[in-house]
Parts: sequence; structure tokens; C-alpha cells
Amino acid sequence: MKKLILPLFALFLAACGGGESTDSKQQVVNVYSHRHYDVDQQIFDDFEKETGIKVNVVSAGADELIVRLQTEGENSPADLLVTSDASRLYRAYSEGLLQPASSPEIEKNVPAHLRDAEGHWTALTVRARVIVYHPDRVAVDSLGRIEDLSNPQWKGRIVARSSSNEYNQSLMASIIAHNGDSVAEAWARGVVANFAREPKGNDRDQIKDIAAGAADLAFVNTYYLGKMMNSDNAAEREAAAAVKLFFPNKERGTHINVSGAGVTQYAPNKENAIKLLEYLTSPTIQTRFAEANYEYPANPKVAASRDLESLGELIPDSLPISKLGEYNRQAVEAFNRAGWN
Amino acid sequence: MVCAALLLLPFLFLFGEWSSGDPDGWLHLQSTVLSEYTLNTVVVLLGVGVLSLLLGGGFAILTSLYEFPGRRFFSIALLVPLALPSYIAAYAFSGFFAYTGPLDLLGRSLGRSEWHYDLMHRGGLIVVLALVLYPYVFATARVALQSRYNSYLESARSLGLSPTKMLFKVVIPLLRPALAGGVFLASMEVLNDYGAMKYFGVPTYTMGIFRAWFAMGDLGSAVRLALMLFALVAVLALLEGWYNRKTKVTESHRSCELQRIQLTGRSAALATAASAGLFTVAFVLPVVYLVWLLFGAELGRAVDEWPSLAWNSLKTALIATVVILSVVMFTQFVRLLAKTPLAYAVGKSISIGYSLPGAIIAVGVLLLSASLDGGRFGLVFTGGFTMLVFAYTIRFSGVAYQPLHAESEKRSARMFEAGQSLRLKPGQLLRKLYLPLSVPGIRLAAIMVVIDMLKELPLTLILRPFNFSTLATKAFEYADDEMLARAALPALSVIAVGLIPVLLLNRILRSS
Repeated sequence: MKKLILPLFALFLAACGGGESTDSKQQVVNVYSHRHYDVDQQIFDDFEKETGIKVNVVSAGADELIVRLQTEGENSPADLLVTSDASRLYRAYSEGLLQPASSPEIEKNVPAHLRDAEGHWTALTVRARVIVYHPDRVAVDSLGRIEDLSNPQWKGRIVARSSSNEYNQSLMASIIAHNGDSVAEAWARGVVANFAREPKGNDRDQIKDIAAGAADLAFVNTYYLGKMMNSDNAAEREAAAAVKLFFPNKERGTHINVSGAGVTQYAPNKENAIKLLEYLTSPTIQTRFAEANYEYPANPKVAASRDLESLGELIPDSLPISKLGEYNRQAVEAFNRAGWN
Repeated sequence: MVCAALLLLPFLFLFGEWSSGDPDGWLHLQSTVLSEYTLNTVVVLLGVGVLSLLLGGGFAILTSLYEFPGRRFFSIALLVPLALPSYIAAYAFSGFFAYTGPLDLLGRSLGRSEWHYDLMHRGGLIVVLALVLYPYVFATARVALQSRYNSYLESARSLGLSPTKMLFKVVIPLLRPALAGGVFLASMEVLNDYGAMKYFGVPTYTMGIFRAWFAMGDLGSAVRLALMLFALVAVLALLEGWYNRKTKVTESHRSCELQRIQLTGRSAALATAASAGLFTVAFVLPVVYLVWLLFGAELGRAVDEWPSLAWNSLKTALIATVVILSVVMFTQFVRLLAKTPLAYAVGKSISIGYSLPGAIIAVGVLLLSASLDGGRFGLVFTGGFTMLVFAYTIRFSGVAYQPLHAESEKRSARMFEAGQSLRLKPGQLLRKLYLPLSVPGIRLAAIMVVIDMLKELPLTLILRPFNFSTLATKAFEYADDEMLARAALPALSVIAVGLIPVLLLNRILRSS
């Protein structure tokens, strides 16, 4: 034991002194991000190479990051909050955590319906929540609106993940926005009655369960199917090939969600944050988001990845994105009442 | 006193919020999901408790009192699942049984597509959690059997008790406090779990707290749920304390080598098979599955970042362990010195943090630091490494408290009185008596804290400084993005690094 103590103590001292020495002249932008994809980090590295501005990142769930921003108040070092869904972006905005910070460049890159009119936030990528189904057991003609899935004809045929998941919450918020609270709750009750099993797992698990024959259809974000189609794992590719994808609600458009970012209220490096937003919405970077992550680019000049396009054409719901945030709490309460865990 | 107050402050801030928010939010929870949360919490707690008691206690007795082929190996190997973080285990086990998992693939290639089993339900969750948490019971029971009670066992045997009688009349009654302590630790880990429960779709108090707070913006309800969780823990702690007092056993100081009962023939084969079975299911299966995922997978940035991830994991574990042990030993020392109920309460209260989900502690710490932010002190404090270590200290002091408290209780109390009657100064008492006497407890506590620190997730995620990742956070991020193959490398690294303290723990168990 004694032999161990000395080296351990030395290691401890080394660890304590291991703080990073930061060059005070170095330009930085500090990001709190719920997006923790590898491609994001590569893009941040390239941003530093091109502009000399170092991107510092803390990544965690958007909910936790919002609490952190709130409690840090004006002492917060963060410049930019990045979330992976619209309702968290809206909540940060409505809690006064974001400031108006736009630029002609951003306004040129992102269409008006995908950003806040006053510039509090902007979308970076668009995600569509769609229906996946098994083509042997579901006739494509029987699919139409997402609202129809509460019909008894789907009894025992639907699987979904937990309503603790923000994508399901935003989907529900969109249904409330279009149909009102009581219709939405009745819809959730109907869908719960149609479940083949309790809600659980992640989006990929829903796809696998359909491939396995445990159910006939499920709700998923398109990019998970895109990733499974291109997986290193043959079994995942096989599962993805077994299912088909349907874009519901052709009339009003399929429910979309965004991952996006906003400059924080007390950003110490506001200009750098705007520069980073311009960079992230630029065509070159938008192409990389689309290719690496199979998300729809927010910049309309950039095409979706070929794999994503092959799945069908997306006609997006024109509902203002901020509504997803406004109705988030009602959505969770409706899920609670309907017994969708 | 100041020390404990500082550690408790975040909770004051947190619990102060219990009446905030609108009462409708709470009524809504009561009328909808509260009963389901309660039922699931109780069932999962009981299930994991009973299962880890049977597995941990049973195999501790088997490997301590009986001799069978492979016993030495299994007495180490059965401790090893402790290195698996529960959320990693949840992903690995469910992945193994998924449509894309090895079992289904084998089944389909043999034309047996009915070989599909859906593990993701409440029962499955209980089994998965018990498989990674039973080592807590196993470890405490083995310590008790080997060091403390072996002279009782020897006398019982010399009185000619039959093995079965000895087991039920002597071993199990003697073991009760240790088993209760182990089950208590495992229960705390269950209440802290969030990832596995969310993934398996089993909503409990812990999940409800996050949902009420974050998705519904209802901090008041979240804190009430946290208080209910807290009340549950208090009941468990009281039960454990009461049980331990009730079954107080005077420890034998005479240590002797225990003669194990030699198993032969079928019973020996059965013992080996059962041990091998548990080891395979609890450890080999998830690890082999994760390794299997690595093949042919693109590993992403975790490869380039590996050295820094591993270094950060080790660094935080080490620093936090030193701080935590100092704090706990200091309060224990003061308690021995002062012998007042207040000092006792202070000493015990610092372990509160172990009973609450890490994310709750993180937010309590944030609230505290925010209130300090009026001055310059806050700026230094917030978002820095200091805050992280402070939060770890709150969270894991309870882990160090158990072994250190047991040591100071058992060995030093009387010596201490003797020392005081000799009018030794506190400094001398500390150096000459407390520290030397506490060495076994310190070792055990240090290793338990290091293992927990390596697996730690929510505090690091929420409170970390910029550009700071550990093996555990990296594994979680990939798994959260539904890229389990990429999560496999950092996850296996957590397990591999965690094996070092687990093996050290085994040496302590053997030598004590």
C-alpha cells in the first residue's frame, strides 16, 4: 500500500495542476449544446481553423442546459444555446434567456418561418417525424393523417417511444395546435388503446420492432431511418430495409421539428456567436449536416441527402415552429391523462 | 459543522422551492401519473432488492464457506459486474435481445424467428439492474463472513452443527446487518438510475421529477416528488439502522482461517455451474456484445479523444476521492472527539446526497452557486472544476460514510476514549490513533468512491466546464444519439478502467 501512495499522490498533484492555460487574447465563442454529434465537433474545429475563433463546448440535455443558463444569470459564460428541438428553444426564449441577434447573412440563409422574427433563435436543421410501417401488413392507401391512427382498425398494431421524449412532445403539441386540447387528448387515448406494447426504447428500437413483426407501424424521425440504412451493422441495414416510410398529413404538411440555436441574453462574445451562426447556416456547412446526419438542411439552397430524398418528398407543416414550444406543457399533460407513459 | 452545512445548502435551496409553482400542476400529477410512479418505484425497488439479496448473499455464502472448483476465481469474478454502469447494461442487454442482436440473428439464420424475446419491461429492468447491483450485497456479505464472524462459525462447527443447520441458525442471522447494508446501497443506486428506466419505459419518481420539472416547467411538483423519494430513502435508512441495532453482534477480534466445507460430486459441479452462469450473464454477455458491436463499426472521435477522455475520468475520480475521503474522515473524527448528538447528526447528514438523483444535486448546486453570484466568488465557482468536485462530494460522501463509519464505530471508539483520557491533543489523536485505525476503512471507501466516480454521469454532464468529457459522458452521448456501436469503445473503457479498483477491492476483501 505504501508503495502505491507516493505515485498516487504525484498523480493527484499532476491532476490538480492540469488546468488548461488559456491564451487571454484568443477569440472564443462558448456554446451550450444538446447536439453532440461528431460532425458538429468537426465543424467547430473547422470554424476555428477558418476564423481563429475557438469554439468551447459544454454538451448536455437542453433541459439541463436551460436550468444552468437560468441559474448562472448574467455571469453565464455561454454565448450560444443549441438545442435539438423547437420547444426547448422556445422555452429558452420565453424565459428571457436569448437575445435578438440576427444578421443579413443569417436572414439570407434561413427562411423566415424557420427563425424567430426578432432574431432570438434560428433553425439549423429540420427533422420530420413520420410514420414507418411494414409494407406486407399495411397497405399504403390506408395511411393518411396522423390523426387517423386513433381509429380502432389499428388496434394492437402501433408502437411508440415514451412521451418523455421531446420529439413526441412536439408532435403532440402540433396536434394540439391544429385540433385543440380535447381532440388531441382523445387522439392520444385512441393511440394508447392501439398500442401493441407499452411505450419504450428509442426511435431505432421502434423500427426494429416493426421489422421483427411486433407491430405494424410507429412514429420516428426520418434521420434515424437514414442512419440505419447506412449503418456499419448489416442487421440494422436489414431492419431498415424491411420497413417503409410515410409522410402523413399531406394537406397541411407533415409535422416538422428543428434543431436550432440562439444567442444568449448575456453573451460575452455576441459577435463571435453571430459569426458562428452565419457559418453554421452557410451552404457548405448545411451540406455537411445533411450528408453526415441525414437531417433536412434549414438553408433551402441546399438539397437533402440522396438517401433522405429517396424516402419520399417532404411537404412540411407550415405551423409556426414557436407553437411547438407554446403547447409543450399541454402536450405533456395530455399524455399524462391519456396514460401514454 | 461548516463543512456539513455547506454540503447541505444546495438541498435547502432546492427544497425551498417545494411550494413554488401552481397547485394545479401537483393536482394534475396526483390525478394522472402519481400512482403509477409510486407502484413502479416500489416494485422495482423491491424486485431489485430481493434479487440482489438472493444473488449477492447466496454467492457470498457459497464462495466464502464452501470449497469447489473455481471458487477463488469466482470470488473475484462475481464482484466484477460492479464496473458496469447501469445505463450501459440496459443498452447492452436490450441490444442483445433486439431484432438486430446476436440472439435474433442466430435464430433467423436457423429459421427460428420465434427466438425473439422482448426484455424491455418492468421485470426485465429489475433483472438487468439486479445483475449490476448485486455485487454491493456480495461485497458487504463477504467482508462480514471473512473478517468478522469467522470465529463464531468455527465454534458452531466445533459444536457439531450440521452444515444446513449452521447455515440457517448461524450464518444467515449473523449476516443480516451486512445484507441489509448491501441491499441499502443497491437500493440507492436504483433510485438514482434514470437512463435505464427511461429507456425501458418504466416511469418512476426519478423520471417523474425530470418530466415535471423540465417538460412541464413545474419546479414545485418536481421538488415534491423529490421529497417523496427522499422520504422513501429515509424509511429505508431507518429500517436498515433499526435492523442493525436489533441484530447487534459483538464482533470477534480473534481472526482465524476459516475451514471451508469441501463440496464434491454433483454439488461441486452445481456450485461451479451456478457461479459460472451468473458471471456469464452479468458480465461476459454484455461485454462480449459490446465487443461484438465494435467489429466493423466506425468508431468516431472517441478514438482520437480516448487519451484525454481516460485522463479526465481518472483525474476527476482521483481528485474527488481525495476530497470526499478528507471531508468524511474529518466529520467522523469530530464526531468521535465531540461525542454529541449534534456531531453525530452532522456526520450522518453528509450522506444525504447519496439518496438523491445526481441531476437533482446538480441543480441544487447550480441554485446555490447562483445565489453566490452576487459577488466575484460566484464567477470563480460556477461552471468550474471546483463546482464539479463540490457536487461529487455531496453525491458520494454517503458511499465513503458507510465503511468509514463502520470502522470508527467498531475499532476506534474505545481506543479513542483511552487516548482522550491520556489527554492527547486532537492533532495527536488524529495522527496516532484515528488515521492508523481507519486504514482498512479508508481503503474500502476510496475504492468504492473511485468505482462510482468512474461511472458517474449526470453531475458531470450538467456541471462540467467547457470542452470537458469523460469516458462515461462520451459513452452516454453516443448512446443517446442511438449510436450504440460508437458508444461501445468508451463504454468498454469505463468497464476496463473500473476493473482496476474492483480487483483492488477484492484484495482488500481477502486481506481484511
